[in-house]
Amino acid sequence: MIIFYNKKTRDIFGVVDGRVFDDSEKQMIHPQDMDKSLIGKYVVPYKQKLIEIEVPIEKWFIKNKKTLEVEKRVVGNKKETVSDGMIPNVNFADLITDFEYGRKNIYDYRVILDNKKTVIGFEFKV
Amino acid sequence: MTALDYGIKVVKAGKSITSTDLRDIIMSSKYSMLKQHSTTTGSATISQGGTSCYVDFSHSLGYIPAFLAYVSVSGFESSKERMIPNYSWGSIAGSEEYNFFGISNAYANSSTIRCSYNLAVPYNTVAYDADGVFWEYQTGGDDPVGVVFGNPGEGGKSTGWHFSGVQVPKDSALTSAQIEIKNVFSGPTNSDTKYKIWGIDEDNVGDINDLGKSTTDAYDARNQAKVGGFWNFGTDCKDQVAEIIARNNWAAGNNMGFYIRDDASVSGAYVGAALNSVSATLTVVRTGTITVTFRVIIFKDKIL
Repeated sequence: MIIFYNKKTRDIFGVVDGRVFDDSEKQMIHPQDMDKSLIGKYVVPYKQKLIEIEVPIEKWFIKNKKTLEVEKRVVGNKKETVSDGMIPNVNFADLITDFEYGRKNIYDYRVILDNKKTVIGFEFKV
Repeated sequence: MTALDYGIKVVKAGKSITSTDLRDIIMSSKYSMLKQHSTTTGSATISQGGTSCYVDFSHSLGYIPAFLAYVSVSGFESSKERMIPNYSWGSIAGSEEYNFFGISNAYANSSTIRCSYNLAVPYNTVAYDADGVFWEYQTGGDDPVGVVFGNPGEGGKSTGWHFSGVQVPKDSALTSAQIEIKNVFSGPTNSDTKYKIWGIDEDNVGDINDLGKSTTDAYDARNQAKVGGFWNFGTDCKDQVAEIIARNNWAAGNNMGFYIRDDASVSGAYVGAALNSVSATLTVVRTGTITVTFRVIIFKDKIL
């Protein structure tokens, strides 16, 4: 997700959906009524969500020595770490996910900026 | 096996790969498909008096891509997104009349998709022609002439102007209000013509047949310099309109009236008009903004 906002008012005016971009630096949304120097752009960082699951340990056994027919049998379980998709790599990840799934309207919010003008969160517009 | 027997097919979870029901198939190499590049939303605003806005969505494809575009307007048809292009009309929230006519459009070039929205009339702006005038002074004959305000040599003269069906909701915040009188001319003297403009302090002004109706507390006192030839006279009346629409029983669609009175102009200083060609317009602009949000789905597929 790439979020575009007005640096002066902190109002959000544009969003590019998605989690992986090969051209995020080239993405731009420019409304007619806004000077280009006022456009702020925040590319939400994502990370892989890893989960541990139990998977069966399987081995091949000869079922029929005459015909050499084989079969796979479960001989136990093991724990394996696998990817469970991407999640926002920020401490307001839940809010970003709500925006992504349309549970909350991102245009009802404005960005919160720190002293370095970095996006550190969102606040609901009253 | 023939060439038609193989390909790639992906079906929904729980559905058979042998299903022939297209609704079960997520993807099939048998059919050509558009490949999505991005889904993007962007918004722009139109403030009072404005008529258009656009948003540019950049893409890095380097060619003209296939795309779909939608538009929604705040306060108008909530929860609907109309496909672009479209022509929509209706009432917008906060307005009392069927006053909203919008046209959307979109185009793509090799770097940008531009979505635009245009209003047929300026946003939050209403204009009405006067449908009645009381002339304190006018000549007779085939080409009668009246004095809008000033002193034609027989003392100060004034006029009253009537506008019907003014669609301004009670207590609206105003950006401006103006009366423009077209095709007027100045009297012979070089001195300024002095005038005052009042609103008529009534909820729903009837015909104006005299200068005796009660007036608003708000008025403007101004000097009008002499102008050569025929010209258009404009005067601000925002405070007067604000006072009228703050009245307890004012309602959108009521009639409004104004007096333009001479304010001790010297003899020969006046603004006159040919009664056969004069026209007056009251324009009221309410404060407000609409947000236009575009949604653009861009495909990687090249159309040009």
